[in-house]
Amino acid sequence: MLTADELERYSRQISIFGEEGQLKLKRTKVLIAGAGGLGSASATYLAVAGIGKMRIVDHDVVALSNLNRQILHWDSDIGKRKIDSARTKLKAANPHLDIEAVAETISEANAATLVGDCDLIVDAMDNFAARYVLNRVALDRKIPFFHGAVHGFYGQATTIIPGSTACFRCIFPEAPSPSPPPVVGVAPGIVGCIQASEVLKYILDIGCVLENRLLMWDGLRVEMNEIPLEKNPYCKDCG
Amino acid sequence: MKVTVKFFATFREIFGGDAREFELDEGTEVQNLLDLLSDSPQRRKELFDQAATLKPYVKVLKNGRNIHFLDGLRTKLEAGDVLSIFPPVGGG
Repeated sequence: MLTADELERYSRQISIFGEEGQLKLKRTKVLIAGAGGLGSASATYLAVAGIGKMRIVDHDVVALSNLNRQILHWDSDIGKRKIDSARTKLKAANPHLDIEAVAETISEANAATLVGDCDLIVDAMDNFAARYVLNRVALDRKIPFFHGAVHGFYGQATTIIPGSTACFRCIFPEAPSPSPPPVVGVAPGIVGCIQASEVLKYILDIGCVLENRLLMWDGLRVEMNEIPLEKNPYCKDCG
Repeated sequence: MKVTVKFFATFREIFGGDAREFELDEGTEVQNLLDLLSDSPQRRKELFDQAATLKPYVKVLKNGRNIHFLDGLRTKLEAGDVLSIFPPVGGG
């Protein structure tokens, strides 16, 4: 059941989702893998949309150089754990949110446990190694993996549905060198919002999601292009 | 025959624009076209590793199909083809 507060809080979207749809969001548990730029945008919009349960994972502490893009973290948070900063802001934005904050580095050893009973994974990571690890868990659990990544003013997103779409490894068979890219804060803002939008549509089963479609955002030219994707039959993760 | 190459993300800066058109001979393969694009050491380094093989995270699509699922660098180009090339985008 939705409370009176929730009915009013979500009234502008319940007209689209229906109360049953809103309840679906409330019953869903989302893993936000990373509390950086992408995680800030996706977690914020999912929290205020009424996602009921969220587990946010990040091992890092807030640094001054994060603040141009990681909008969940403020100047007063420098030195705090990102998960604590994120939990405080998200809970303040929506007190109905049941949020677990986990300070761990995602690895093969802990990935399955970190995913736990989450219904889906939002890829808000900043490196390919962790993405491959969670891609594998998503495939094993048959839960969707909402990929997003940014570079400068550029970004990309796709929605990976195990068994039906190309997986992350099909698209990117090998990782590039792990040098930290330049990022302008608006890029993860835009891509994180696209990921959140994909999550909502997937849960509510409305519209269509970026299945086998890699969306490329070019903020310099204000262009979106789409690249069709195919499963790789020889993929070492899903083939 | 005319073939269009479209670049995405940072490749737009590295390869000088959103798209370039090439007039090629019949039977030209993707490898030949990528060699044409590699007209400076920096551009070559973006596409190929030291063994002159295409870097695995550089995606090359012919009319929307990854050449990985066609004949790789030996994929033949045809008149009107659009080749899309893009780099890895990995930040969060």
